[in-house]
Amino acid sequence: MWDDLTWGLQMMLVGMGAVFALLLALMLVLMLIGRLDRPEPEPTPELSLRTGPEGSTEIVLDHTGLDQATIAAIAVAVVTHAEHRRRQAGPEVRAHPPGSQLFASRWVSVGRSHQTQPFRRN
Amino acid sequence: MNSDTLHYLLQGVQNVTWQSLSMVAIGLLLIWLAIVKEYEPLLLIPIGAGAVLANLPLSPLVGPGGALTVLYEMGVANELFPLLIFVGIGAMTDFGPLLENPRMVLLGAAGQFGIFLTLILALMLGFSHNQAASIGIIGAIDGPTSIYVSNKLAPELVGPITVAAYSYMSLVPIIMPPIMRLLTTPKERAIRMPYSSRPISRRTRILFPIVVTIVVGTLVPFATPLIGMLMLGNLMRESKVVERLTGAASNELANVVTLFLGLAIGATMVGERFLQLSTLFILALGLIAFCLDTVMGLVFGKLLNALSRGTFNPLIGAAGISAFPMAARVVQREAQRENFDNFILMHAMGANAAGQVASVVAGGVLLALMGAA
Repeated sequence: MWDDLTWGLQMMLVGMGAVFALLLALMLVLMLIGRLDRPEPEPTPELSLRTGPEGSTEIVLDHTGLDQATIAAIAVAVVTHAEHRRRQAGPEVRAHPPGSQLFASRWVSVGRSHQTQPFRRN
Repeated sequence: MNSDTLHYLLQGVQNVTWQSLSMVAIGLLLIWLAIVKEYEPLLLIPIGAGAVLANLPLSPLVGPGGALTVLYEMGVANELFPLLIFVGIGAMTDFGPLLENPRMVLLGAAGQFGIFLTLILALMLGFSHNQAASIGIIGAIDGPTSIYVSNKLAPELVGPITVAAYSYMSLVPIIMPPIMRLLTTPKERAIRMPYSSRPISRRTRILFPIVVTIVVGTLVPFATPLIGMLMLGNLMRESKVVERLTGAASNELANVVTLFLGLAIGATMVGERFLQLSTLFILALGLIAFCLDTVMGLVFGKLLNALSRGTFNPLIGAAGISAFPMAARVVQREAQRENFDNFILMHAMGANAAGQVASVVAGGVLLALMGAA
C-alpha cells in the first residue's frame, strides 16, 4: 500500500514536472517564432504640427497633406451626401428606411386582423 | 425433425445470460443517451450498437473472424484508429488563439494533474500499476489519447475506459460549472480581460505543427505517433494547398474511423468481462479525474490571477483541460453568467487548444514513465 502510494507520488512528481518542462520549452519556442516572424506593421499616418497663417497650431497628416479642417469638411460632405441619397430613395414620412420591408408588416398585420375575426361569420 | 433440430432452432434463446441481457440494456442506454440527450452521439451510438451486437447470444460478430473482431484487430489492437482520428482532429483545430498567446500552454499543463492524482487513487483501490496509469489517462479528457494509452498499458480495460472518457466528455457542461462556482468568487468570474487579436502570419501557422512535432517527438518519443498525426492534420489545414485532403481528413476519414472505432470498442464490452466491480471503479475514477482536472486548472488560474494582480480571470484555467472546444464554451458561459458583457472566449480557446496538445504530451510522458513501447 505504502509502496504503491510512494510510487504514485513519484510518478506524479516526475510526470507533471516533465509535462510542465516540455510545455514550457514549447512555449518558449512558440514565443521565439512569434517574435522572429512578426508580420510587418501597416504604416500609420504620422502626425506633425505646423503653424497656421495667424500663428495658430494645427495638426497635419503628412501622407495626405490634409489638415483637420479639410478632413472635417470631407466628413460632413460624405454624411450630407448619404442623407441626400436616403431622402431621394424614400420620403421622410416613412417610419422605416426603404428596403427594410418593415413597413409592410403593418399592412400584413392589419390584413390578418381584418381577416381573422372569430366573432364575425362570413 | 428430431430434438437436435429444435435445439439448433432455440440455441439463441438457450444462451441468453443475465450478463448479456445487462449489456444489451447498457448498450441501449448509451444509444438512448446519444439520441435523446445528444451526449456525444457520434461515438455513443456506434459504441452502444457494438455492445448490443456483441452481447446478443452466440453473436457471430465477435467470434473468430467476426466483423467486429476484425475491426478491433485491424484498428484498435494496433492503435491505428485513434491515430487516424487525430489526423481529423488536427485538420479541424485552429491553434490560432494559442499562437496569439503562447503563455496559455502552461494552463494546458495544469489541466493534466487529474491524470496522476487519479492514478494514485486507482492504486489505492488495488489496481496494478499499468491499470492505474490507464485509468489515470481518462484525466487527459481526450478520447483517442485514452484509447491509445490504455490499449498499450492495459488492453483489458479499453472498453470501460473509453466509455468513461467519452461519456464524461459529453457531460463537461454539467460537471464543470458547479466546480467553477465553488472555487471562484463572483468577482473573479466577472474579471474582464482585454483581447487584442494579434495577426498570425501564414508562415507561423505552418511552422507551428512542424516545430511542435519535432520538439515533442524529440523530447518524448512515445508521444510521436499522437502528436505527429495531430500536427499532420493541422499542417494540411494551414498549408491551404491540400484542401481535398484536409476536407477528407476532417470529414470522410474522421467519420468512417469514428464509426469503426465505436463499433470495435463496443464489441469489447462483453458481459462476462465488463460486468465487474472494477468497471464501476473505473467509471467513478473517470468522473473524479474530470473533477480533479477542473479543480487543478482553476487553482492554477487563481495562481495566475494572484501573479497578475487580479487581471487574470481564473475561469480560463478550467479550459486547460482538453475536451476541445466544449470546455472553452463552458468557461465563456460561466463568465457571461456573471457579467453579460464579459467576453473571454478567445482566451479560453487558447487555453483549450493548449490542453489538446498537453493531453497528448501527458499521454506520451505517461507511456515513457511506464516504459511501454
